[in-house]
Amino acid sequence: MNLLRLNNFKVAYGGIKAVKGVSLSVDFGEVVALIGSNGAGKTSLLKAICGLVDYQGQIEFKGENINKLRCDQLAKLGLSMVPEGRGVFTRLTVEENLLMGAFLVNDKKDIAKNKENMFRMFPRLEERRAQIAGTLSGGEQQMLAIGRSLMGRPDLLLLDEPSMGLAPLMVEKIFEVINQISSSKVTILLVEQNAKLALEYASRGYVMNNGEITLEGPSGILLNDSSVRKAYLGE
Amino acid sequence: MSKLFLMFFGGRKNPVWVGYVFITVALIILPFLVEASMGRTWVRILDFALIYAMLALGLNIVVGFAGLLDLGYIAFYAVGAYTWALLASPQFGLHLPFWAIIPIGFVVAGIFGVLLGAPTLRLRGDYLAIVTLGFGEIVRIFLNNLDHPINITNGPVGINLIDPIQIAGVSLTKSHEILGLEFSGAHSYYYVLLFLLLATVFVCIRLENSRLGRAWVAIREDETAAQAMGINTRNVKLLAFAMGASFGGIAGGMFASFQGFVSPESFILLESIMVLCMVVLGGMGNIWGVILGTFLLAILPEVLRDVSGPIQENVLGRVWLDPESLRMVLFGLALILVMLLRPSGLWPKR
Repeated sequence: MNLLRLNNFKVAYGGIKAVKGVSLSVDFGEVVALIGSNGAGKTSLLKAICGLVDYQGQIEFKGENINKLRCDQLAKLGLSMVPEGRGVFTRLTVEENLLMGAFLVNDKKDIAKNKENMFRMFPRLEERRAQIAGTLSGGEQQMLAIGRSLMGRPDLLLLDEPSMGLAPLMVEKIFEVINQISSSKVTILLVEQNAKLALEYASRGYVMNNGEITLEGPSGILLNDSSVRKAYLGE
Repeated sequence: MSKLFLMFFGGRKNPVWVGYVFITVALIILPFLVEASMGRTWVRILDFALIYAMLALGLNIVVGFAGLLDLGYIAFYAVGAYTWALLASPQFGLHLPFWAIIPIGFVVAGIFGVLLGAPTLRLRGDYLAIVTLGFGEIVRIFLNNLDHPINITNGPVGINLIDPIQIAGVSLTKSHEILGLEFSGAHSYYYVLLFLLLATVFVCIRLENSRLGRAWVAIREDETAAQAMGINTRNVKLLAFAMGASFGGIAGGMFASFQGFVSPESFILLESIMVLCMVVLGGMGNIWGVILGTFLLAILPEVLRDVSGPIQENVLGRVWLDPESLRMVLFGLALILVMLLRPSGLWPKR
């Protein structure tokens, strides 16, 4: 059974069609990459999945129709998004940010345990636990945003351009973290412009172009596809 | 100075309660000290400062905690004041007791808060500010014009002879002598208002540390991220408007009963701005900062009124500038200076 399934999914801003009938699915435990150039409609698609913008079409999560559910209702169901540009609470401390991520969790012991897990996964955040989040570097903020989402114990994590604006070394680190999260049984849908890295870490991929899915398949095949190599890998 | 402070509040030999006793005694004798040193007018000024502090704490929930810029906040003060005026004055011949009006005012103002909040849920920042500004004006204009076709508010004339608070048949506005001390109306109201302010502070502290308080902070910092955390931003924002408005409503009721008179001109835009200044200047989001800001801004114009004439006479030989206009210039200057030197308020959250 699919964890997430979209069928003929459309997003339009006024007359401008950003997503023109996309169908895709994500299975339990997978890491799926959604790649494409600027303006392909990736972020619009992700925002619509989270209920942040209006859309048309069918969407199922854990086999249930989640049409017209708001972002906060989806969070309760276990669908969590790390927004583009990270969106950490800049004037709160690292620790307060993490605790905010556990807003829906009522068990204090569980929250404390999960927080320690996050600090183990991101030792950098533990060093800076009392620091104001706005003073962290871009990469640290990205880690914090991911950690904050994981505090809500989601089943599906939507990552919007986690590598955006980060130094190459930091990008590698973020992808290692994605790998680690995936091994802890959290399913990931990853939107990326860095097609090569995304496909290296994902099991499957979708290529989006001009609001439509133009290509899909296992990562290995996409990485060797001549059109993908030409368009996104600069060959 | 810090040693003295420690001696009272943190010294090992003097437990914390010594500090509390000291503060309590100081608050109890304050109006008598103020009267003895500066005259009875100043007790009234102190009372108004307490009312403003309640009002500012209410606005602090909306602006400081939830980050929703409200430029029409005085409307809820007006709603509270008129609720009291209509339920306890000869206007309709109703004379409800204070313990009935306070909860009614709380609820009515809260409903108005939701009325303002509901259509503005999707608005942020400047756009929200403009709509709230309009809302404040609409309420005032309604109060100004609801004297026909049916006379409800008495229009621009306002409502007079509003009942004061009566406890066990004793009116608080009359002077009483207890234990050889003369308690004027201003003195009696001081204790009622002080009690209400302390209750407001208590509720605000509890709110700030609650789940709801954390949800407000999340919305203030980043609404989209807050939603992604599973916070129902619609309900949480409405609650901020409603709670803030309710506090404003109680403050308004107190204002009406203390003054004995309300008219629409007490609720102009400048008042909204003034309360906002108290919150911002004191330190948005910090309860103690907001109270500090309120007392400074409520008292400073009065001090300037008293001193700007005599100082001119002493220094320049005669009064060159009308003290009444000069005090507003100095007041504005003080605001600018504070914001330049301490951009996040006198006593910021951190």
